[in-house]
Amino acid sequence: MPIPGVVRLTIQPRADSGGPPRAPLSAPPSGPAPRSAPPGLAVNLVDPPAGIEVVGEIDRTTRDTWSEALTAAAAGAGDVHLHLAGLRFIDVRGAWLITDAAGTLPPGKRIFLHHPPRILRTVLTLIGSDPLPVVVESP
Amino acid sequence: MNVAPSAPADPFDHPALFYRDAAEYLAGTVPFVRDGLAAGEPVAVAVPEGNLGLIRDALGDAAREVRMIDMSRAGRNPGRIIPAVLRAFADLHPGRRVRIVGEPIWPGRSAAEYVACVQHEALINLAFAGRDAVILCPYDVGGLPDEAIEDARMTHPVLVDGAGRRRSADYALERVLSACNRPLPHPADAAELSYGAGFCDDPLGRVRAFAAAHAARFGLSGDRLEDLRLIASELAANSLDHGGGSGTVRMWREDGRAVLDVSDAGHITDPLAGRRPTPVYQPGSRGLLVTQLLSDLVRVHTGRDGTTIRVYFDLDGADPLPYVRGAGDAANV
Repeated sequence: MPIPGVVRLTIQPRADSGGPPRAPLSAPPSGPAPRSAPPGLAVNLVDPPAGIEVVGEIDRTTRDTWSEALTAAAAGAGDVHLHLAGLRFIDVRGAWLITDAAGTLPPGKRIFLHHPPRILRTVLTLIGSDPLPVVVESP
Repeated sequence: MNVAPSAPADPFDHPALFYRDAAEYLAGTVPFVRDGLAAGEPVAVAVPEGNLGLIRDALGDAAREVRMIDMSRAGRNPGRIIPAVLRAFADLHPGRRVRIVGEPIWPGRSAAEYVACVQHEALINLAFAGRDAVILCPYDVGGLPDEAIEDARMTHPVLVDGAGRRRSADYALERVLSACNRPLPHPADAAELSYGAGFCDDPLGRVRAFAAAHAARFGLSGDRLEDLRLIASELAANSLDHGGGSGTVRMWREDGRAVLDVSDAGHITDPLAGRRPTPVYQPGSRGLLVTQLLSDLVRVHTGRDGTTIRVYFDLDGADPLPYVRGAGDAANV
């Protein structure tokens, strides 16, 4: 599942078993060397549906990694799927970055949130994400 | 406030309505609502539940044309009334004159809430300056202490009662805001954690764990525990970004509430910080706004020597989301 940019940001193997199967991460394509993630956040490439799985906590410390992962995912072909069952915390800015990425999508493309934590749904509601193509796929 | 004599009159109108009984209440509010409807203006009534029923019954069928809001729930935290009630309604009707009955103060507000209510009433004047809107604020002269009526004369440029309408000679916006910015001493036995430069690694993770553990110990659980954990993280992140890079979080239990108190070296100079709905397309900090929307009470003491933000969560409180969800959407209009 070649989504250039997303692979580049794939950082750590998933710690737990189960969940959606993910693409092998052992052979990143040519390009910048893999970055190391800050402790507390892992962004994994998963398939299907094509997208990224987020495990850990998103706050000021891990924001840049999250922002880059979202930007790369939004730049790929097709809809964006965020698998969030392993997301243990996301702050207000982290939630807003999802809406910011959604605002850059071409018409017809959407960001699907799979198993978002309730606090993310709350913050998206409070900041007024309704006009943007962000879909809670499985509450 | 210095206003040049040649400045055009501010279209914003913010009268206090002093009433003694239900008859005076209805005489002061129902014609106000009907006049707005007759003029084709969007009208909202945001008052406590009992008074809401009075107005609804008196309006009859016309009540269907009015946005009716239970202020005792939507305005549980006075600090969220501007973004989640007043501007949430006004912003839905850009370019049109809107008319709102807003009753934020009722007998039974605690002393800590009351200060936040007075501050809120004063800040309405700043939040709506220059906007074509009228917000009529009823005050229960019989049920509220005399102090509340005196404060209303200082926070409202115009007063209305059975004798008619007149300018308030006591209007004193800056004085009220200064008086509401009062020190917030904390109990000596509060749990305490310092974070940031010179302290532990992973400051925000530590603050979240600290806040969640103590709030759970006080009896908070479920969604509200998650809300408080988020707010603790947002306020501590503000310390790292704007408060000198470190801060102290304290927690204690007080009168059926979990209290979260964050102090740092920052100085909040914008009196409306956290009270402006922000369109989702616009970058910018929303941490204080979300704090106001999700909390049951927020108090702030800020100055050159530092800032303390104190957040209260009712231990038996309800999820505020159904009452505050319009805040962001309206800003997008």
